[in-house]
Amino acid sequence: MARPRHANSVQIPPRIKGFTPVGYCNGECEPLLLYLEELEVIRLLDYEGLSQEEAARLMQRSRSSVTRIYQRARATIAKALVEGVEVKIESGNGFLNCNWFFCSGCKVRFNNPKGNVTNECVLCGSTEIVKMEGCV
Amino acid sequence: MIVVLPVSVGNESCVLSKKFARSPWFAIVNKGLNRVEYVENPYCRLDTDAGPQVVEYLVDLKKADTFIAFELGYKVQLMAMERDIRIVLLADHLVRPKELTDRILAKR
Ligand SMILES: [Zn+2]
Repeated sequence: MARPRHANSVQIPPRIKGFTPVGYCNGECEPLLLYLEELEVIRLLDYEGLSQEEAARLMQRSRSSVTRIYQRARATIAKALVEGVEVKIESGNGFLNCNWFFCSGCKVRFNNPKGNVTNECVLCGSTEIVKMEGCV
Repeated sequence: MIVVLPVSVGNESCVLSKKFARSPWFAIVNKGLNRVEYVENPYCRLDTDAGPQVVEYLVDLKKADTFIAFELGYKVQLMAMERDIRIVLLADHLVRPKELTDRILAKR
């Protein structure tokens, strides 16, 4: 599939598909969408403590793009937390910067750095593996 | 195949360390030799940039080709990818390293 024009490089696929509020869930609202590139910006800036310049370099985007993505991500997370709305993680304009696979047997995610054909899980040997395009 | 796991202590009773580069010990599984070696991480107490030093130590000195972890810092990820190291990210950090090392050695 062709890469979107404003694609953002993402290092690793997330381990989750989204979040559900505990205790109350605003069922009137459609789940909020948090895109892969938004989660990546949160990971790089808030979890890893990088500067926006460093994150921009890693994601192969301009600093101003990273700022915009970060603002969108924060707004989505804020709305979800305050209003108790479910969040779903979707690919959006993020692309994984190498081949990643998910094993349905042992649930690990693994990459394939040399690009050779991979038809089994490197850990458990299961052949129930799927190529990841974004989320698990 | 030489696989590295970050672990808490240098023996089979260890648990998995959540942070790769700051892990106090590593279990290194050498599939060719059918052996598990436990090595202390010489860089776990560095104030900054433990990740790159750890990758160099494990790849250049210990000849590792696969890292297994619950989570990897971005510097370790980048360096590992640049060096064609395979990364395996676990779904659960409570899995026993002994179970993983046994599984790797048993796999054909
Ligand atoms: Zn598996």
